[in-house]
Amino acid sequence: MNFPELAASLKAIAQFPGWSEPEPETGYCWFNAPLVIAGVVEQGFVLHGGFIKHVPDANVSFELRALKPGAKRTVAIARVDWKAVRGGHTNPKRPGSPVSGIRVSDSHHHSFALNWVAHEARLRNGNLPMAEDIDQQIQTFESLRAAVGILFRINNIDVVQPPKWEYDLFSYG
Amino acid sequence: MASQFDTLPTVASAAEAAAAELVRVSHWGASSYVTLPLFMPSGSAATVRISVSEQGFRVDDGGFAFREIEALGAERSFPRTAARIAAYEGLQTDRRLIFTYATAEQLVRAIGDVGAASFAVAHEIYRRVGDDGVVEIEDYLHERLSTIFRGVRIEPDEEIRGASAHPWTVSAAIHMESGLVVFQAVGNHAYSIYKASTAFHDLNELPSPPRCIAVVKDRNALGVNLNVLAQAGRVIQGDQADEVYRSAAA
Repeated sequence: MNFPELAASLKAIAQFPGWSEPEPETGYCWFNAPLVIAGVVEQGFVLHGGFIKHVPDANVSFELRALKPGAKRTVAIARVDWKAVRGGHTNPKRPGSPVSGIRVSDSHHHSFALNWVAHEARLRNGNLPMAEDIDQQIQTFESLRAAVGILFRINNIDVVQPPKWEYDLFSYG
Repeated sequence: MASQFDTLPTVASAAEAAAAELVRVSHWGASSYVTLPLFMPSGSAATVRISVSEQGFRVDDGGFAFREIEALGAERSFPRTAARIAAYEGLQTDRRLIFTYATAEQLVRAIGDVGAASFAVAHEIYRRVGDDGVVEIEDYLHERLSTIFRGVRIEPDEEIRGASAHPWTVSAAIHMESGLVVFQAVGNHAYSIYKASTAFHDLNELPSPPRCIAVVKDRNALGVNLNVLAQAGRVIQGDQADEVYRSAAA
């Protein structure tokens, strides 16, 4: 399947492997869950999720990663960032894009549609550089997860367990 | 009746609102995060994390450059590239981080240096990945070379000055008893080929020139550009046998 087909297809998580232990250097926890389309687990096509252990109730990312044709590498084809600790996202200026050059909030969607150059059949250069705001009323992991299920067309996203954040008395964002 | 101009922001208010977005601080537990006005390949801000250390403060990039590169599957390139770029400002690196230590008086500079290095590392690797698979070749090239030339000093990303005095960063330099051998990963794109060719010609003009070897993914895919490359150095494919690597270096 090509990237547009992968993005548009109805998907399911084949198996949720659980969140990783936090990386000692960064506190980042993650998972890569293989995705099924029409009963077939697609090669190299995964849902990646990530959070930082000591940044509770914020900074969660979900990303669709697919194998680049002819290469061993995977590339991101869509991403949702929620309450990113790196703050809002700034789109580069790109002629013809409806979101060219604008600043969006710290909760945003790097959609496949915004980052796909259809007439050249390729992704825009960079790491999904274009994004648009998502619903700013999303305040919990569960509601984020449901929104991502709709945006990425994953029909069983509730198998992704909530992060086990580390709370302390001084966590306030 | 109010005109449309009454609702437009003034220059001062627009500038202040934009500037407030460029640098932000948030606090999470024992760490603080500072975003900087430098945009990573994803469009997110370069960000540093500050925590307490024995010397005062530790400033690191939170692994955000590594995360950007990981999304490309090029994370194995991080340690080499980060170490080289961080060295310019006396910063330290590990598998996933760029970091330094600072007193309160040194904190401003440390934040700037770590943020700038994080930005530079992410952009350099993205540029090379866009260069038709150079990073992909380099990733396996370093592993192959350390296996084939066991016991010999191999320097990834070594900077070598050519006869013109221009510093060329090559994929790997092997310091053999018989002399210096340079391996350069070359993509199919014309820019990659011309850059390697120029570097090889410049190195060949040195009084004691190194043996220059271009490593490509597929010789046939280069077309006539293979001749351009072969005029300046030897050309092998990355997937060839160990013996081919050895004879090219001999």
